[in-house]
Amino acid sequence: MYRLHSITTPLLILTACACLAAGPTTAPTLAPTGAPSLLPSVAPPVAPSVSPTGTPATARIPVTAPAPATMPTVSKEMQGAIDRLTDDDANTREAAQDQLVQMGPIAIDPLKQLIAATTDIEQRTGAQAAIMRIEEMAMTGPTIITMKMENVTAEQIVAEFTRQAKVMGKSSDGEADDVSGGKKYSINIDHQLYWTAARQICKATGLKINLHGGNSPIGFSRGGMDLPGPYFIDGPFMIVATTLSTNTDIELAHPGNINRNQNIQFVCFAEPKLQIGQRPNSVKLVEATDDTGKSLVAADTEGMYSGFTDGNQGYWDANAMLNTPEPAAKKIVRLRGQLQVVATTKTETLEIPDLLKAKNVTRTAGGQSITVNSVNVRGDEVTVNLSILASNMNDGGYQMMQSVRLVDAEGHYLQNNGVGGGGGMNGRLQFRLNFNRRSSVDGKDVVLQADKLVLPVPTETKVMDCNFEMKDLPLK
Amino acid sequence: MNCSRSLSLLASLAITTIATSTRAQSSLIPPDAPAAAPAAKDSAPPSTRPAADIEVLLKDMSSDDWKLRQQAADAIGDLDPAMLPRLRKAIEATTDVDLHSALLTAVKRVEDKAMIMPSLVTLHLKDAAPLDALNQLAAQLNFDLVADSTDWLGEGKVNIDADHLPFWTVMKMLSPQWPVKVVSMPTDPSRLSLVGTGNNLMNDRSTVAGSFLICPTTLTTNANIDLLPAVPEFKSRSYVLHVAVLAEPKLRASRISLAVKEAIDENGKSLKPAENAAGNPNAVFFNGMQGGTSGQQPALQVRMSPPPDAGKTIAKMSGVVRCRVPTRTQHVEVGDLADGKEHTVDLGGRQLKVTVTATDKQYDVKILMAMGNTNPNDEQSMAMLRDMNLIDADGNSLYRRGISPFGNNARNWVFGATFSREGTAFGRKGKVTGEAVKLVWDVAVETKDMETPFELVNIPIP
Repeated sequence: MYRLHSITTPLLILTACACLAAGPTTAPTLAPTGAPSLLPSVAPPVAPSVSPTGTPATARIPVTAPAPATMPTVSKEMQGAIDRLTDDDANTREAAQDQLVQMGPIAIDPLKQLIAATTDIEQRTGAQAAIMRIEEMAMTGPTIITMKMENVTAEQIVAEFTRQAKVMGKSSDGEADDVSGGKKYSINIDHQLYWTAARQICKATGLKINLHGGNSPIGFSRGGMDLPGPYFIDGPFMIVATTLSTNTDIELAHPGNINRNQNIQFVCFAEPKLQIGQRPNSVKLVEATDDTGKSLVAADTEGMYSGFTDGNQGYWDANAMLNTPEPAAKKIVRLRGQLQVVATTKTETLEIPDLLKAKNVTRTAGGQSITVNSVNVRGDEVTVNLSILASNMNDGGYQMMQSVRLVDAEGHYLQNNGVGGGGGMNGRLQFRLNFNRRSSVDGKDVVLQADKLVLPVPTETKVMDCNFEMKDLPLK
Repeated sequence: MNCSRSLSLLASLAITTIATSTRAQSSLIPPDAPAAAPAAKDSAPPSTRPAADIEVLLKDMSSDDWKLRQQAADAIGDLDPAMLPRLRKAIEATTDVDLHSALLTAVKRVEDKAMIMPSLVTLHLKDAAPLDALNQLAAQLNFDLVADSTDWLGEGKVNIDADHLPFWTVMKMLSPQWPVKVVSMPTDPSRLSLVGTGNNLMNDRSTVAGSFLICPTTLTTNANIDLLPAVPEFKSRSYVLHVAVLAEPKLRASRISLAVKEAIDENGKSLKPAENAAGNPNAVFFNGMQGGTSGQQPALQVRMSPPPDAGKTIAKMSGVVRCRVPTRTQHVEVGDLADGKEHTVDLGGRQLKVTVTATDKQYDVKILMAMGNTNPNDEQSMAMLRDMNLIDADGNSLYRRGISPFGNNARNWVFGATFSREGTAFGRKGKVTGEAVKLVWDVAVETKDMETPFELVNIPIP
């Protein structure tokens, strides 16, 4: 079960229980081997609606009446949960808050209305907490995909996946490059996690996942990554075991000195919407048992799990050391592990509008300032020359530059084609960013017009746990 | 005299330049060399051609028969560098333009060879004290053998009969008899440091290749199972042989790398070595200065992609050691080393400001190099540090104790080194040098890439 540890606000400890129960169905099958899921399969029970009497000025949002333009529509279910935020029983209030959180971003506007209207402190506090959790989960929780499409092209399937994966204004969109050839497919994805849905699309269409690096969205193509091997999906993460290596060293001055070690390599995927600040280089194994019953979990030596790599990367390699198995051992019958990433949960967005006319324009957000010195458009390429503050840049600013986006007036992103420069001058770092105007929107090739520069500046981060489990990995 | 005879006389040198013909290279190491040759056989004593033979060759160079002229030119090019004075005399004496030109070409080949020839040592000792042996050995070298102390040498006795043998061959012969181990000094690559503890690189696995000692230290095997396919499958197998390369400091070699041409197991199966085995082809290895001011002798990696049915031993691995050596140097001296006085020095086109400060028996040399387009980690900067020496009135080098890491101020790279008058250099009288009187550089302004064949045998595969 993946879990968030708040760094800046301990109040906001969030587990996967809530988000996975968002749909009416059980959690998706996570392990291909049929291993029992580490995730709860059902939502926590929801307490019956109880309206406490004698509670003055408790706000109610109209349920069925047409809402005014500024008044969000509220379902009966949501209203019930809102009402229960004032319940005398703490468990009921907590369950109501959980239920609202499960409803996701759709509950935010009604909850804001409630906060403005209610004088009940309990209700206001519960609503505020629910909003914070929803916003946080929108950034770090798993995206749930439901798609039922028949006789459609691969491009249409990917376009729908793209549409549903958009969260809080940040795209998880994909692309389908030259994949359909007129062939039609049917697909039925019912409340599945992002990676489960992505794999299902691959299976149905024969497409493969295509990763662009950085926090660029994933794509689908005929030539991407084929990942039929052992994998596990935990919330917004997918862990794939790729290679089992055996290394043996012989010290030639003393040939009797032979050291042997084994390790297993993984590729770890995070939903593109996650802004990852640090990702671990090592996986901590909780269990690794071979078919002779021997534990292969290596001793937890100091510093073994302390290696981190900075930077927002949608996928990364990690490995785990194993003890040498018995000679007769042929497979690892059960492998359980854990890794922790640091993800951004709050950002301030720095925007420079009317970008093509920007010249020496400076904007500040979240303690960072960007000056756009010039913007050049040549054919399909947009080049932005800018500078940032050199202070607090451990990696020379490249990580931040990877997060800079150009968007058109309708919010479509231009693909980042690379970052150059990085030299310093007068306390600022100078960069040159190139973007490609050609893109695919709703399955059509388009040339986008850069409208504004957008940079989410992280202001709060959290440690997220990802747990996984695999079975029957071959040792020979 | 035929060509093959002249080559056999020189087989022991085992040295060639990159431009040398394939014929010459293939002749330098006998193909039937014993697998685990004793140390003394790593390199046989070099021979010089009798003076009468040289006169015959010089005469043949003027023959009307072009084939005879060509054979003579080849044979002269393969001569021992000891013959250079006679050859230079012949160049001066001739008025024949064609002969003059042909002799110059042949002499250049001999000079190239001389650049990377091993130091030759003659030692005949019976029950000698280690300290005496080291003093006698060091007296025959044109670089220093140094140690922090001599206490660890002990009271053992050493015996050796060596006539004109390469330095590393002699060291390997002595190795079983005493505790001496050799390491390159990262802080002073112009010397070899002797220590009493640590790994002995002069073991049976190492091999002498001219001025180099090639020392395989570790073999790492790696086998991978690809878990990704629906049915996991064996993916790849690789071997990495870690090799330390010790070079005689007199070479002032940089960019040391190994190019392995062949690696076979005991069944004759190729273990498929990578063509360029330098590990990181971009790495620049200086003699003892591995792309910076720290590090040990060049540690290279030979990568192999063996077949699934590879045997238990690397029966033979052969190739060449590549290095870059200076062919022309610029000698620069700074005298008048009064405390704190700043000297301006032009070193290969780079303007340096140098300050020497003396405290007790120690000297700190501070160098400012204008930033401009210079890089403090490039080869020229490294060579600047490597080739810098403080000299006393008797011409003795002071002992280098440290190299300061690069820093910078607003306009300059700042770096330098510390020298001490106190130390132990075998073969030198006294443990304290005189006061420093000048700072000197012999900076390479022309270099040449050279190759020396090597062969390793019988390396066990775990």
